[in-house]
Amino acid sequence: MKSKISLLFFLTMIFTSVAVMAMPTNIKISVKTKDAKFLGTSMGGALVILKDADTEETLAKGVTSGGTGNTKLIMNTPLTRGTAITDAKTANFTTTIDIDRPTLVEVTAFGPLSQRQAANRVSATQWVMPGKDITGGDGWILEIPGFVVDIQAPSNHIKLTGAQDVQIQANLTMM
Amino acid sequence: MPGGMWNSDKFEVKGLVSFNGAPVGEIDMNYSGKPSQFSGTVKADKKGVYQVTVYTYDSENGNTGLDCVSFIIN
Repeated sequence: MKSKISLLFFLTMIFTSVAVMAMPTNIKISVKTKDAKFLGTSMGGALVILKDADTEETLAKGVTSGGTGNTKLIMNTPLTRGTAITDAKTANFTTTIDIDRPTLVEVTAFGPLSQRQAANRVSATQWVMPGKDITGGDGWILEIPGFVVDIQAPSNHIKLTGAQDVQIQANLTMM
Repeated sequence: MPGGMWNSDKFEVKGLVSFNGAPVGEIDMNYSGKPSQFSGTVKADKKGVYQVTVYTYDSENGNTGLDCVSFIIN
C-alpha cells in the first residue's frame, strides 16, 4: 500500500512538473511594407518587440535583417492560399520564447530605423501555444505603411541672403 | 519613377510651405529626371523662416510619407 502511494505521488510530481515546464517556442517575424516588399538590412530594418500582452513583460526583441524579398513573386505574381512570399533570404527576426502556458503575444514593429522620418509603428496580437512554433509558411507578418521621403536640399536650417527661388530636392522611395 | 513598377505618375508629391510658422501655400514636386528624385521651387521673397513639408500620397491605397526642412532668408 505504501509503495502504491509513493508511486502515485511520484507520477503526480512528474505530470505536474511537465505541465508547468516552460517550452521553447520559435517565432519568425517579418515586416512587409505597404504596397512593397520587406523591411530589412537595406533600410536599417525594423525594431521588433514581443511582449506578453497581459503583463507587458518583454519576451524578446531584435531587428529584422536580410533582403527585401523576391520582387517578381511579391509584386507581380497572383497569389493563391498557402503560397509563401518569403524565402530563406527574406528579412526577418526569428527568436525563441519560453512560455509555460498559452500566451497572448503582442508583436510591435517600428521602422525603417535608417529613415526615422518615415518610421511607423504597427502591432498585432496572437495566441501562442507552448512549443507550437510560428515559423511555417511566412511565419508572422506585420504590414507597415509609409513611403520614404528624404529631403536632400536645401540643407536643414541653412541661412540664405536675400529673396530668391529655393529649390527643394527630395528622394522618394518605397520602404 | 514615372511608368515604373511603382508608377510615380499615380502618386501625389507636393510641398506644404509655411512662413514664420503659418501655412502660406504649396508647391508641386515634379520628377527631376533621375530615379526617385523630385524637385520643386519655393519663391522665398521675405526675410524669415520657411519650412517645407514634402509629402507623398497614393490615393489608390492611402499610403503616405513625408519629410520636413527649414531654411532662413536673411
